[in-house]
Amino acid sequence: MSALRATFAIARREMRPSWLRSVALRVAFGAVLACIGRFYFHYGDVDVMSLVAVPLGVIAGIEPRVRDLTYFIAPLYGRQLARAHAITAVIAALVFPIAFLVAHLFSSHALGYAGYLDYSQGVHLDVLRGPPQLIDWDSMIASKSLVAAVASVAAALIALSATLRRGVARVAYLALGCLAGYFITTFSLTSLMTLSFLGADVFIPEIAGESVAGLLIGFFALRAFGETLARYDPIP
Amino acid sequence: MTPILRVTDAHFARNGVELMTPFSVTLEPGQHATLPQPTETAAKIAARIAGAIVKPTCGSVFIGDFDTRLQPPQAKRLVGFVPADGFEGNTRTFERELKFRAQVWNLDLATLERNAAAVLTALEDLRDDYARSVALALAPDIQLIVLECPRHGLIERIAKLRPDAAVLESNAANVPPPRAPIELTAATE
Repeated sequence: MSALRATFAIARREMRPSWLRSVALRVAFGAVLACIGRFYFHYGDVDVMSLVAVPLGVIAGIEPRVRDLTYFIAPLYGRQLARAHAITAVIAALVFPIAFLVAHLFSSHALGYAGYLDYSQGVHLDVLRGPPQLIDWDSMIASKSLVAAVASVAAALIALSATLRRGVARVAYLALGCLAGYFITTFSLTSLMTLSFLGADVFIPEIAGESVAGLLIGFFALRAFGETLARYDPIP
Repeated sequence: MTPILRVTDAHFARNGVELMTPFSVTLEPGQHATLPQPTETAAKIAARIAGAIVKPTCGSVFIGDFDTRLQPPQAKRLVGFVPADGFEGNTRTFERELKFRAQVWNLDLATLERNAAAVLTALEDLRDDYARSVALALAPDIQLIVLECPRHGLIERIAKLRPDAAVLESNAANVPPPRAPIELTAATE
């Protein structure tokens, strides 16, 4: 219980004014992006959101002041510190896709517009195409936002390891975070499109199942970060 | 009496280069010692090794009965570490920091505040940032105080504040005692 108390105390300490400002900016960016897409194109600009969520996740991962000497003075194990920093990073990473989704759903319901998409549009292979597949756009946006959230979280957890490194190693971890995020996005969206194309409706549980792979990547990244933190020597 | 700090031939190297002069030290409660090092970086590393923050490349460090390699959290509970940089922040952030430490160390906030206030009163002639840093370190119930490159003459004053605790300071030989005179500034709080 005291370990949990310490973990949340560190997470709260990291939620300093600059962190809150960055979270507010992410909320604003997500909401504006959703509204622009919604009002100009009648649907949310979901592909841009998927593209931007990953680098924003990486930035969320490098925001915590992991090297602050106070944390190394504290009587804590590396894994406790790692968990606390991960809470801060994950919250910051999740804010953007959630803000996008909420803004989209809010504007959609406020306008009373029910959007549908023929997802097989543009496919010219008649054998494969079949009848038009109409998909509830809100459901599609929710699925893609979930995918973006998972990709963003995995990217943030990988980027946490960059905070303890300098030079090329740091850049490599940032690049790895981006690559993993985009891999998860591509993998999940490809399967989402395949499902839609084959006539299946888009269900959140299916995407959630695929997202487990992304969360596993994040989990192993967090474990590695905890071990690095336990071995890390804060030398001046 | 059982020693509170036992450092045996502690080395610290990076990429095969020794970054500080190896040292051994044994301190019992109530004793204090100065650890000279050739550079400021070496002095800081030595202090952090004695404070269970940095693990030595070889050699052993015991604080109380705890090996700092195997049980760092238990060892750190016995140490009050005063960093060289002092505490950057105002009264409000200092109070927040005390609250944070009460939660992380799992201690009673009222006791911490009372102890910190007593230390601040005793060190009111010191600059605010350093006095706060000492107050944060001495607020919990500790047995070893480690001063990282402290100002000249501070060790005796801190030893008087906690007569039962052992005090270790690390100093750089090549750094002039800048540090030297304790700055006599009026308390601004």
